[in-house]
Amino acid sequence: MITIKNLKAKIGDKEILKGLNLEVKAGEVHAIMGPNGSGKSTLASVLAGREDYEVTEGEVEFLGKDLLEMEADERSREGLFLAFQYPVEIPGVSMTNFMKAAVKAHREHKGLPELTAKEFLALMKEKKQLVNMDTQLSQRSVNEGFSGGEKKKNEVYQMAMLEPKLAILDETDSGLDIDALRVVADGVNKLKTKDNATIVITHYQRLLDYIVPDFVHVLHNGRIVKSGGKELALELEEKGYDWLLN
Amino acid sequence: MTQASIKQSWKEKLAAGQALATAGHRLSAEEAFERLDFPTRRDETWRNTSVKPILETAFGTAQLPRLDAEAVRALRILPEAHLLVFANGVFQPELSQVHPQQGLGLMSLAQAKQSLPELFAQHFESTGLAAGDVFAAMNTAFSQDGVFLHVAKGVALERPIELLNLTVASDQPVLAQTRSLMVLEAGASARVVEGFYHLGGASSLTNPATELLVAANARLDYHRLQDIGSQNFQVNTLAARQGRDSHLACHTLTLTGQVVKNSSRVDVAGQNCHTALNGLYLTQGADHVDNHTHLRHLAPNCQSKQLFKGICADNSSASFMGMVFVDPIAQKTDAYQSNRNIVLSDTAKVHSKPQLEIYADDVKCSHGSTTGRLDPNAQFYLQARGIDKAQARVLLLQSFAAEVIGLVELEEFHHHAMDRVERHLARS
Ligand SMILES: Nc1ncnc2c1ncn2[C@@H]1O[C@H](COP(=O)(O)OP(=O)(O)OP(=O)(O)O)[C@@H](O)[C@H]1O
Ligand SMILES: [Mg+2]
Repeated sequence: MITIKNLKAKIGDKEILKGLNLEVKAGEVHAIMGPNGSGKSTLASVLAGREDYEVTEGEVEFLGKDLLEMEADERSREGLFLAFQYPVEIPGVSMTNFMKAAVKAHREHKGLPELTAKEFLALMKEKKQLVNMDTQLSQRSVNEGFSGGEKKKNEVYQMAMLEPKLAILDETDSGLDIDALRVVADGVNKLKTKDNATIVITHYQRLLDYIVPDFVHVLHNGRIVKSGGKELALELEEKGYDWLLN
Repeated sequence: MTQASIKQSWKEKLAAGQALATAGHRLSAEEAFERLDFPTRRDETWRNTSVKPILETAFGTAQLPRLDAEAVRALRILPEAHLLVFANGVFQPELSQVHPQQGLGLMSLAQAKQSLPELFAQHFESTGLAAGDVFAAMNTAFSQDGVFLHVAKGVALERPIELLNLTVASDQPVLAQTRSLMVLEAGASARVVEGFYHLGGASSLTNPATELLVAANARLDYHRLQDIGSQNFQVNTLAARQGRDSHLACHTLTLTGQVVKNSSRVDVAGQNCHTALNGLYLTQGADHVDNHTHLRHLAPNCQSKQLFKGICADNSSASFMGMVFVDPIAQKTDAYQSNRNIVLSDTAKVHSKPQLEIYADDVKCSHGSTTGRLDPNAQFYLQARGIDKAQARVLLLQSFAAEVIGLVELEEFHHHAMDRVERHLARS
């Protein structure tokens, strides 16, 4: 699915990713954990194509293509999805128009005809149910005035709408109440197939009880310093990071 | 050329036929025109707009244009509406159409002066539009025609009214003006859409002036679409007066113009009025759009809302200056004024100055102004969902604009405006 080799990235003069390697195969779930500021969101942003970051070295192959050569929107249409740690509020753009434009772009890319208004509404309804999202939210402007938890649900709702090949969930669990966490995790699990893959970035073992990872990685200071199975998350929960970093 | 010789030359071009104004108004307006200097940047209300390119234009004598009926039809927004067409300030009866309705007086102002002399005398220049402004004085002194609308007491107009205000130049720049007078008697209601277009030839300066008289409990929705082209000038003066319990909404959409100056003054003279002044301007190239509003709350318990938004690209510039005045008598005034702009380039310029002058103590007044770039985070968020950069930009700008257009209740104008804005943004 995705192969990241020796990825180095900086913002301004500050190097944040310092030679990162990771391979994710179809059907797998990977968890990335690590202390605040270690570069998890930076990795997610670099993969999603945010231009503020400059990739100085390394390569990323995504489904056989050079990911770093693509614009952010191409990456999305090729099947990469980032659930933002901090979803952006966009006053004036309704959720419906936003999703209409996004779905249209994705379908065009796949050579599929545009959905009729009726089909589109049915799709929205189906996917909203998946994350138990309030119907009313889709009539509002994108994330505007959404609560923290509603924003996170909205990310997973968008993921459901676009059915990506590779989803990167950046702290999607933070801000969710216990019930919402279960609903959202269930949603993610329902979207899982043997052909897609998920990277979950989280600080908490709790999410990994629901979305069970095949691999757990610890990111520190711009590198993956430890990888293991799902037990590693339990170990981290118990012992913290100190034992690993020294 | 000196100011005096410019004025002399303009007067010759404009004053060739029969003036509308009655002798008294004409004399004082002409006196004001002679006496007042053309504004400079030292004038508070012209601080951000230069008249130099206007004064440097050598206007020819306007030819009576031959208009292509098909081209005129293509400009229409409301095919079912009453229609009055003016070209270079001259009424075009063969292109116009009024559907009779009891209580509706709709005709050219020159004709109204003949057939409805009392109404004309009672209302023409009753807002004192000519005082203190050289362009408005020029309009009052020399205008020869324009629109007359009268809606009788209690009459709701079924059809909206569409006005096409056109200029056509030959190989010489053309100077033209119209004068409009719209009177809504108590309890009447009307919706008016006025389009300003330049159809070709050399450049044009238009100097329209409009008086809106909205009596007690009446309601007027007035919409302007200014799309005069980037080599042309317009100085547009509007003065309105509202009686108690009345509604007035003025929506101004400016798409193109080398210099467009809109000065709008509203006197809210009765209690319980609602006033909305809204504007959207999209400037590009070297266009310049200047909106100046002066809203005077002269009675208690009134509500006014002003929302002006601009999207400025390239080397273009825009200015908003708004003054809300609240008289000591105007307690419980609720006045809101907001100006927001997006600049799309390093070289686009925006000046914004909303102002309040409040002499009553029990009021709710607020104003605000923001100017900034398109939010890069929002743009990235849309891109991250597969929407390409250009389309993300258009989507964001459209929704920025949609807030103003969303205030338009006349559905056909709403759709037309949104459509024009979308096409405009997709091109820029
Ligand atoms: N725009 C920026 N300018 C300067 N430094 C930045 C910028 N963005 C991120 N950084 C720095 O890069 C480092 C990594 O940030 P990043 O957001 O990737 O951390 P994270 O692992 O996601 O942390 P958290 O667990 O708190 O979400 C931090 O030290 C952060 O301050
Ligand atoms: Mg982070």
